Amino acid sequence: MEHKEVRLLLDEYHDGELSPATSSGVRDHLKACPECGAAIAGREYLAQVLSDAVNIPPSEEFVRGVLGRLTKSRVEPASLRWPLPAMAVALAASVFIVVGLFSHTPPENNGRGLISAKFEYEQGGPMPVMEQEMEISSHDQVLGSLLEES
Amino acid sequence: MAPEYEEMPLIELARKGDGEAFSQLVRRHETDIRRLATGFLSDPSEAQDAAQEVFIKAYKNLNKFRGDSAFSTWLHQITVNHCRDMLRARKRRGWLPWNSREDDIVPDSESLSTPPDEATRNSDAGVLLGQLMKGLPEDYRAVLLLRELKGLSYLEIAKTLGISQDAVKARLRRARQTALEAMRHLKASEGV
Repeated sequence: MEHKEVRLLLDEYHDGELSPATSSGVRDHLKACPECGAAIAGREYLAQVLSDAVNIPPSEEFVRGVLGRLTKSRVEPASLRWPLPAMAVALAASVFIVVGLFSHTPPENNGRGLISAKFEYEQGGPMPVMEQEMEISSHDQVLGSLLEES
Repeated sequence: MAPEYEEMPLIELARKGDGEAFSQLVRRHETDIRRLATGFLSDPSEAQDAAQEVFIKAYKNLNKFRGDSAFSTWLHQITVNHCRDMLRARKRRGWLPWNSREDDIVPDSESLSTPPDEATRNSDAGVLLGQLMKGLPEDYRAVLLLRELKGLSYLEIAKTLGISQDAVKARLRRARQTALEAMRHLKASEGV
């Protein structure tokens, strides 16, 4: 392998990230190239320094320290990923129903809302008329007229 | 390191508040996390606090661990993020002279050609670590430490840090160049 090519592969060679064939090519080059050999030695030395610097033995005291702090902590509940949209839909549906009830006041209730009409009915007033009932009866009329035509 | 499938029952128990199960997880991973934090922060005392904080965060967020990666990978992510936050806090306080702009680092093309001599090799590794890390931006520290201390592959590092393998490769190369150059400067300043 060419020197220039090997120079670009030294880190991957050092880290064992090359294919066996490429790795073998780099190894052959290293035998004959002091410059690349020194570059690899530098990387090995750096790895050794880092490893030596953080050569930490297991510590039961550390574990106890963590566990001591756990008494003040608790596992937080799982993320509310799906309940939030569900709650939003439920809220929107509630708003839709309430708005629907108060905005579509049938003329038979004389401009009174269905709830207030129901209240008045319970107090002895006239029976409130629901819009759906009116719609159903008008559908029946249309259906009846269609049947008559056929 | 225990295989992931052995840890899932412990994680499930810990989620339900079983302290003993969580203590087993801490015992399995504490040296790794403390080593990583020490490498990142170059301060054993601060690293100890950081590592504790990592496990507390992990415990509180156990329900967010979905198991699509190893538990150790998840802990590494928490450690890197927590140590980054600590480094940024240090920087804001002016605690540490910092050179975090990648553009500022101009590695010497020959810096990797000559291995440090015996005198440098004999320097105290802990002091050396501080000197080396001082000049490394946090992104470079992360790849270098995950590679050299944890022995993670480029793919594993990429997954842990959420970056591409090409980015891992580039940062690792620059990190090594910068660290080795710092070693040479250190050697020169010691008059060796």
